[in-house]
Amino acid sequence: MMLNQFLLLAAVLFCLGVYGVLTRRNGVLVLMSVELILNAVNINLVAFGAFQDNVVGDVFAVFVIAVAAAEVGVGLAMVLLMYRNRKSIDFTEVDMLKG
Amino acid sequence: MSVLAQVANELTSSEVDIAQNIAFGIIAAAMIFSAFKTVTTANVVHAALYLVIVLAGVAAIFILLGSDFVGATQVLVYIGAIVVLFLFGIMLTKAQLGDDETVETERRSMGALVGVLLLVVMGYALVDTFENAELEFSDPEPIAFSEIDVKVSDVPTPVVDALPDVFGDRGGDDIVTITGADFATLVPEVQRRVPGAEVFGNNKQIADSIFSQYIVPFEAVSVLLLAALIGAIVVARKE
Repeated sequence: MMLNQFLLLAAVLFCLGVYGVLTRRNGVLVLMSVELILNAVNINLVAFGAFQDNVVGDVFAVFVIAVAAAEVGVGLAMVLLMYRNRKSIDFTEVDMLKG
Repeated sequence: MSVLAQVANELTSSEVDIAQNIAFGIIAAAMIFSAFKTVTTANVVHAALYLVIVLAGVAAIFILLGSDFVGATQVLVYIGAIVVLFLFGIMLTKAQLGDDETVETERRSMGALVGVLLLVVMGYALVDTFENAELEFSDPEPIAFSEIDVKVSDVPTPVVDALPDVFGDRGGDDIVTITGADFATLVPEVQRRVPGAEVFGNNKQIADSIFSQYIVPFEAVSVLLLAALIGAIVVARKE
């Protein structure tokens, strides 16, 4: 197997995730797109770990998974709070900090 | 030894490579299709279910790369926990999004432009840099111990006959300790007969690495998870 096939697959997933973050308005779907991006990064980490024949890539992938779990927990809590306060989870309507 | 392992032993490395490439192609196609549907489908629940396919594909890619531990963690944490969280999030919030057609089209075309540009740049850089980089998997770790206790009945007769010094006239359920040069002769037989004698994967090195070199980040992650837990409760609870 070539290293590049994994890296290109991860690049495609990453770009689809970026597209999702930019176009989705529903907060939950934006968080899902962020998960796509994090998974693309994980594929890169593990592929480079296999390429260099050490386990550092695997270790960092496990750390990324743990951080992603924390991120989803807090992110969904914030989406729920936003829904409770505004009866909407449209991210384009959240512009209170806009100058 | 399982039938699967016997078949795998009879394959040449190029045949294994072809099989791996076919598996990769199928998994990658399913993943890209599902990822595309995740970011484009109008139905929120369908998006979550397509996300499951992508996450399972990522786990399969990890296993294809020889990282079975990360693959298992991926299934447990992502498919087991995060997707369930997403489904709860979807059910607790009712998405009522007014559709403004012109704004939506503009957002979509800009998003697609950014995505495609990013893909072109990254794809060019990757192809340019890693054009001939090949993944070579080293052989599984040699077993770390150099002596083993076996039941004589577990050892095939030709081996017993070949090592009269070791086995002598013992037989049946007698336990014999094999060390030194005799052990090297026996290694293939031992691996075939004794469950767990053969070391697959790199779980041991991952554990060593996490609990020695990366112990500080590991503890930091545990504190981060605790903080995220408390933070999520504080943010989401009713007053």
